[in-house]
Amino acid sequence: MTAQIASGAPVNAQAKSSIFRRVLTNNTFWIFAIDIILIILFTAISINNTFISATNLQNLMSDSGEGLLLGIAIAFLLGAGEFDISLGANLILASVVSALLAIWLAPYGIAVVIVVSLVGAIVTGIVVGLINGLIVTRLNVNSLIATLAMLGIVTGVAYIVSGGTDVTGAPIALQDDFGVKNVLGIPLPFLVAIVAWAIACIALRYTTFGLHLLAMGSSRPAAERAGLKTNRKLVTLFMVAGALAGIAGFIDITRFAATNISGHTQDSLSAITAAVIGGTLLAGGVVSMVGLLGGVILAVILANGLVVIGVSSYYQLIVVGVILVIAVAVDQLRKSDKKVKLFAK
Amino acid sequence: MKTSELEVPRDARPTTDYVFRAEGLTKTFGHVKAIRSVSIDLMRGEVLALFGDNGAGKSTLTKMLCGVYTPDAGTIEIDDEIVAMKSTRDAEDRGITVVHQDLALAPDLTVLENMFLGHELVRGGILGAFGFLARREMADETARALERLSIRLPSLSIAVKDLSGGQRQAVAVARANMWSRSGILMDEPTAALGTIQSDIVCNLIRSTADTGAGVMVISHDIPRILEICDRVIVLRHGEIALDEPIGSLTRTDVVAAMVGLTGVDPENKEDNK
Amino acid sequence: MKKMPFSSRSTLNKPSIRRAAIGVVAFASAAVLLAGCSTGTSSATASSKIRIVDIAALITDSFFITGECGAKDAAAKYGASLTFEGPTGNSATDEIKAFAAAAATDPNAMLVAPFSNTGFSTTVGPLMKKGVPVWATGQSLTPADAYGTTITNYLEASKPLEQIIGTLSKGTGTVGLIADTTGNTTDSDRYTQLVPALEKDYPGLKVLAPQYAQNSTSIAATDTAALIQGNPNMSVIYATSGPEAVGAASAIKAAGDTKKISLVSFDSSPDQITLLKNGQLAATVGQSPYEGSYIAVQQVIKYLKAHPGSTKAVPATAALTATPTYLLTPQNVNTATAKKYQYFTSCS
Repeated sequence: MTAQIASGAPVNAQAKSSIFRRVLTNNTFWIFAIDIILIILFTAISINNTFISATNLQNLMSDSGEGLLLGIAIAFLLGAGEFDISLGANLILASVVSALLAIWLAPYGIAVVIVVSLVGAIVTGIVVGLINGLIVTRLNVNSLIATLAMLGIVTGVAYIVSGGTDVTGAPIALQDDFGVKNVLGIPLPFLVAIVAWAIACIALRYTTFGLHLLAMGSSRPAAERAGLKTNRKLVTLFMVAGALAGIAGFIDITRFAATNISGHTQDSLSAITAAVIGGTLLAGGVVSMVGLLGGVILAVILANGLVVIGVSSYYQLIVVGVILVIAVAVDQLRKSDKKVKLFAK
Repeated sequence: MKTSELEVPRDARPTTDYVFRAEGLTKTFGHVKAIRSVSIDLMRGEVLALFGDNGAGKSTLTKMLCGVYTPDAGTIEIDDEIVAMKSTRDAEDRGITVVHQDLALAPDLTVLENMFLGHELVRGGILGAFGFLARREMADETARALERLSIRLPSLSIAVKDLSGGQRQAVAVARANMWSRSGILMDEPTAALGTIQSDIVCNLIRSTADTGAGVMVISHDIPRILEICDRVIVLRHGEIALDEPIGSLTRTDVVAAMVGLTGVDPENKEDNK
Repeated sequence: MKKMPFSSRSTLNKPSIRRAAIGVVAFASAAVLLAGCSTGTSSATASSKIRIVDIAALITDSFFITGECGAKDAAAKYGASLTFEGPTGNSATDEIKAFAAAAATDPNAMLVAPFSNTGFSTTVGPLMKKGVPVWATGQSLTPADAYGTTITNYLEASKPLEQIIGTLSKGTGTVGLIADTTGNTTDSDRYTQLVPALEKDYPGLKVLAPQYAQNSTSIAATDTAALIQGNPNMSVIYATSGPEAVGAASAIKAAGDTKKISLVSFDSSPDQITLLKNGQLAATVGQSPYEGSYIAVQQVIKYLKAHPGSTKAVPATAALTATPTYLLTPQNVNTATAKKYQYFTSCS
């Protein structure tokens, strides 16, 4: 998006010349550098270099689908200066609704089951997002607190809807024909997530949706003074986040053919971590979708790789913590190097 | 999603030679009469300086003129029509844009994005329906707008937070100039700036008026604004204490009006110029 | 202190009278509370109805729901009231808090299915001292403060798995272990003796250290997939609980048919029964949570009836009452015996 300036506005020389410096001060570069170092390390250590094998790559992709979807949701919200920690609960409720629909529609064939339970999950997610958005905008409740409250409410509703325990008996075809299905060697759940990610990248970068989202996160008063209907846009944004959580909930039941209502408690936090490590600012106004992908990949290769190379459970915790610190420290390094004064007339 | 058409404000022929004409504006807060029957107008192409001590009513008056406050009494006339503005958006629709003291720019967005925030150009056809931005057109338009005011920036795709204070003010002014059809109200444009940058901004204010817009500047920076303005209004206790063309007005005259020593003292005129 | 009948109270010394009075007041207030709170059932006299609170580790889990059903059925049979409560997430602290809160309502007896062995002593000890029997189900307490414990003998119950794993693996390859949490003997007892026994009897087998999936299907799936990847000769995965088995089954399925990996597990949640019937699970150990809680209610009621109104400390014991287990396989899953060891998701 380099602007072509007809005349009178010389492009800053510094910005153009030091590509090397720009790369080194780029957060996305560092997160992928860490990813690649870990991949090389795990591949070298694993027996027969099996970490990089086709099947393990499929494992990594399967594992990152849900995290990536929630990560997109959280990156959008953080970009607009908002939070949503009810995403994990939303995922659970969506998976419960989706599973119940799947059981109910099982006699009508797998196509009907997939379509309706996916739509059901998305609609559920959107409704929760709508409520989040209304609480934040109409009742003026800080989104951290509003979604914390909704975390409890939505979890409670999920338990009530499911009868207080995991929904059982979801059609196994959901798993066979979707959850563990590969298309061109790519697990279908990951394909869904990566397509959503690509759409999110385009929306963020090339549309008014993305621009307004970042404007609201960068300076809410500026966005309002520019005439943006910020409340309406925030509600929409929470609904988009809810829809993404809904898709993640659908993917969850397709992978396991069962709900997991006592799991997913850490999902929102993991998503926030992935987004922030990837360079999305907690303060809003800056979103890095490519960095988010790097952050999600980091989490997934650590969870998988440490087990593949046989690191014991207790040491895994320590290694994950250390890498997290390294990732964030590298980011700080980048910021201190950012004193690039571009004003020179 | 809102689509906005390409507006080229300067090309529009003014229907009136004034931006607004307000008669008998009054605003009371509880027992405090903030503004008492003030009549004020802004002509196209002029720089009008609005001075006054703290609490004189400058900001209350400005807020009535840009739709933030509704006057208790009095009328505002724009384009031969008495208007009732309820928001800054209304004021913008009537051709009046405000440049706030805190600039109202989104620091993380680029110059280009800030220039068009809320007025984005979208592409034609199906992409436009999805809100795809026409960045090339916006860039050309921005470059032209900056050129018109002789503003030089390192790049249009640089985030506003990476600009200097003067450059940010310049972007804010250029933005207002681009979207106001007739008038710009500026609140303390030089307050946070150093000497050189203040001078640059003042030149910018002058060139903005020279493009045909009416500019009303609220400021405490009396000497610098006197250099560039065409007319001076001084508020005191919610009333107009002075309303004269710049002519031979001096800083002393303005200060005298601000503190209530009415009348022009010809004796001191030359010393203070 | 010797137990005193009500009639002889006037002869007691002052502190005893006070203590007894406190007991009466506490009992009466509990009764009033009960009368105020209980809905529907109108017991002849409030004091005749014994009130029991059952705190479980994870009330959304079918194992604990089945226990709830057993406790409720027993309570109904003996005319007692039973409240079932507990956390909805994996949190030992939340369960301890829920237990303390329930204890503060002065129930006549309490049941607890602890998430972890420790942490309950500050509440259980005082309760027992003032005459409220506390019975542990499914997990023992440390220190052994409870009036009794019904529990699966996990060490014994896991023994049949040794032969199954030996047969499935033909004695060679690697065995992966997907456990629930660390620091939880109910979980670790399911493999601590099994692993050395396997290693001793099947020298060709390599048993890996446990991965902890914390009742999350997705963590279990990630771990299982990674274990399969890191150990090309993986022959059997042993999942120590329901969600772990579901996650592992998904990962094994995703790995495809090229790798012949068998899955065995502990517990018999409806999902695990489905896996058994689909042939994705070779064997699982069904426990008797229903029976465990049923016995618990029986025992505390028996105690309360034998010591009416007593404020004397209830004797604690470390002795465990073992409840039966059964090895469920695809072959026997539909038999009447096997059905007794399958968990429910709601009480009928």
